[in-house]
Amino acid sequence: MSNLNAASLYENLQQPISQYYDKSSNLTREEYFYKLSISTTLYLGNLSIYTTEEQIFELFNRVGAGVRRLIMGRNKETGKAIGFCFIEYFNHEDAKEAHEYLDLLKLDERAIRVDWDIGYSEGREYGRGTGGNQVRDSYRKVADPERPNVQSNRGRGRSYNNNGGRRKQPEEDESDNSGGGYKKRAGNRSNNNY
Amino acid sequence: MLQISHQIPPEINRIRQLICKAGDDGADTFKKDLQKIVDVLGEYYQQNKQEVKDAMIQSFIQCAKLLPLKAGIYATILALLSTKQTTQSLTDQIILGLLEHLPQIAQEETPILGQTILKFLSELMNVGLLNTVSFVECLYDLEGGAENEQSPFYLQILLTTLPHAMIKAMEKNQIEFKNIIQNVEVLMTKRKTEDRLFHLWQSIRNFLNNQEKDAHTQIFQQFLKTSYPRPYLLFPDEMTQVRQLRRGFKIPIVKRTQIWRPQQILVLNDEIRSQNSNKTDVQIEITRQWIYETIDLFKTNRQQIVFQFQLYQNCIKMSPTQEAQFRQTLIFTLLNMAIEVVPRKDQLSSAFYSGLLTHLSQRNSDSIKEWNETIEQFIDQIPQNNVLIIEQLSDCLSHYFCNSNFKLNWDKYFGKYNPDETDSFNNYLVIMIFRKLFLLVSVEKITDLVPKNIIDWYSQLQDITKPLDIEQHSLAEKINSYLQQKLNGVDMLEQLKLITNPNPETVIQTFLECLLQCISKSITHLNVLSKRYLSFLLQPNIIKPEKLGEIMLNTIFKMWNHSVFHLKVYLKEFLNLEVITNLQVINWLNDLIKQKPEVFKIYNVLIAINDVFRKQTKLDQVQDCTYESVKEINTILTKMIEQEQDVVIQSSLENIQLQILIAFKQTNGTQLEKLLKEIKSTNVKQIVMSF
Repeated sequence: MSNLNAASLYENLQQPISQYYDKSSNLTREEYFYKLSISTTLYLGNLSIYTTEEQIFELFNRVGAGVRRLIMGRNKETGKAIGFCFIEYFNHEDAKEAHEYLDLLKLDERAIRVDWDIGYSEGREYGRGTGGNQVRDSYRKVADPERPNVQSNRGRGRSYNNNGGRRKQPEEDESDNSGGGYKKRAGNRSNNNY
Repeated sequence: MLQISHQIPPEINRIRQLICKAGDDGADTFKKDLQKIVDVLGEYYQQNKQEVKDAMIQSFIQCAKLLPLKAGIYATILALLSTKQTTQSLTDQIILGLLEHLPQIAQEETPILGQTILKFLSELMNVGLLNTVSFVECLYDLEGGAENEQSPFYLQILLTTLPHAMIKAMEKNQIEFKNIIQNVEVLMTKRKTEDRLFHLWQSIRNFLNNQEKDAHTQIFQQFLKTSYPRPYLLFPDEMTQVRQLRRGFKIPIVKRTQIWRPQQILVLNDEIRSQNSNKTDVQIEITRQWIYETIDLFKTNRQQIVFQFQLYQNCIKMSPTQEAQFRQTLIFTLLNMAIEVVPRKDQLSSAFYSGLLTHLSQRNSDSIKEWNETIEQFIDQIPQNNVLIIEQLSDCLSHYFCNSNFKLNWDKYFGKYNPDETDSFNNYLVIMIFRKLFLLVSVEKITDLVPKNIIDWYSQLQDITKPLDIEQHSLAEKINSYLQQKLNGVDMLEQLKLITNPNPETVIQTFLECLLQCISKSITHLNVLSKRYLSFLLQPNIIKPEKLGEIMLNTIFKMWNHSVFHLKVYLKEFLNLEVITNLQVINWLNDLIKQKPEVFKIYNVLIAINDVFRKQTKLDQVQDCTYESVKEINTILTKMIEQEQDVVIQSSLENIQLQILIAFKQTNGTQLEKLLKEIKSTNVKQIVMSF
């Protein structure tokens, strides 16, 4: 019996699965997007470096059978969080549900990007940009206190483009922490603060 | 499928598009758009090409089945076509095609497709394409099906059809229709369940009893005049020329094996409801049915659910009162579905509901204040008999408030907290909502938005992970140094064996306490360290498994009895590693409840256990689901439920029992009957059998 899937009637509302293609994956575009279509892994970007695993886990664990694995993005040199993570579910359906319904998410007052990922492999948790941070932070013109403080390229007038980073949400800019503005943080957050 | 494909001739694609998207352009040009569609389809039909006719038939079948908002639109198009040319075979084929699906639909898990098909057939009757006598015969068929089955599958289809058919049926075939209503009354009286079907039936019965007198009936009559669901009202002259089908048809009723349960409605939203007359507005019930159908049919694609709701709001011209009622019905229905804690096979996650609530409210940003007020009204009425309701609700609301820029009425929520009532349900609700909210956003980031009294209250409330009062300090120092050296499991075991202590259990206990302190730093620490060290503890001659389990459970409770999040995470991890078993967890729970700790700590544990068991079932990774262990778990839980005085704890224990039995059914269904014989409650049996 055909499934209860009326969504198939409206083809024009079906968005492409992702606009980001990771060239360093060594996959052709077709292979890459095929992997995305069966993936159980999501990429979360634009996180605050102070956002804890517990925060991410608490929200994304509410889907289906829960989170299988959470891998925080880290600076290879310092070991510190650099504002992205991978979330792995047990099956594609759960990942799809999280992608559909936890998109447009605000975590720690930041608009978070939820995107498909081909799957974690060792080494992918490290930033590929300057100083071990993410590439997009290397091109940041405006300082973002919630992101790694990258000194290079600031003030050179180089504009940010999408080539080195993930798909941008159309309504946000690089320092988006909308919804009340940045509130001065009292101190480093303990992972145990819940 | 009706997607456009480049291999398919353009005219076929065009037909599919026209039919699928009929009415999508909104209310302003609605009549003209429909007329255009009829003209174009009429021209195609006149070409007399078989593939074109087949495309039209298949498109109508698919869309009538899957787009419940447009049943009236498709019926109107077919009616208008019939006035222009002989399209009797077209409508015939469509009806036959839909009826062919019904036996298969009857074996499905939900009656949604049956409902949408019957809704379409009732609209065919309303436009005059279908004879009223024939249609009422269909209702008899459904009623026969309903009489002969245990679960209300056919009854649901029958009841959801009645509001769309009753006006015409009463007008044209009153005696037979009243007969059906009397039979349904008998069926509904036998059911003693207050669920969605009950409320739907109440609304239909009240409407029929009070047709001319009631104010809310008049509201419904006004609603009936809105043209989007009933476009034939825009073509009164043409409808008099509709050529009726000559043939009647039968609804094929088949014997069903699956048990289906309607959703519960825990919080009602009928403002007109009064205790005396027990009225329910049929318009609300129709809207609620449509919401259920839309969610079920479009749940895999968020954008399309949102699109369907936008279509509804844009195309149906509602008065401000009707808009408010629609908004309330929508919010109440979503939240009711979110907090339905009795397990269901078609249950969606709390992230689904919170995500949908967030997206729908953002589409209606002008009325965020009204949205939030409606949510507050809902919360004021939630039943106070199950902590799982609080868990689900706080999941939903924390996500929603984070995404809606915290435009909640802080004082209203905090006002539910009464410091003089330490154990109250409302206090627990407030604590859970704020804990989950401030887990998703640090309170120091939004100090401008949160009243100071709440910040002060919360800062006193929250604890960091409690450091353990480790008795054996020198032993702990030694063990911590080994942990800092990142020894592997084997080396660690060797070091522990070298420690001289008259009681080996003390060594293991201290080791576990030190380990859990390390693990508490992050989830990554938990994953890495538990795999590194815990599995070696299961080796023979180190410690008895029962003792290990007991120490583990007591320690995690000591450290995190105030945090549902941590209890869930650690219970799940240790069950996966088989360091503890489901049976150990239940035994430990039994002992814990007997010790009578603070009641909120028990609530936290109950929520965590329920969640962990539920997720085991979802993954088909239920630990030790043998007949003997499940029987023992069931026996312990049954006794606990019978002895428990606190209704809240009792209902949560019942949920846990259901989770275990459902897990057993999934993994070992053949022995389930043996186990079910020992269970007295018919309700429990039915719930388990519905999986």
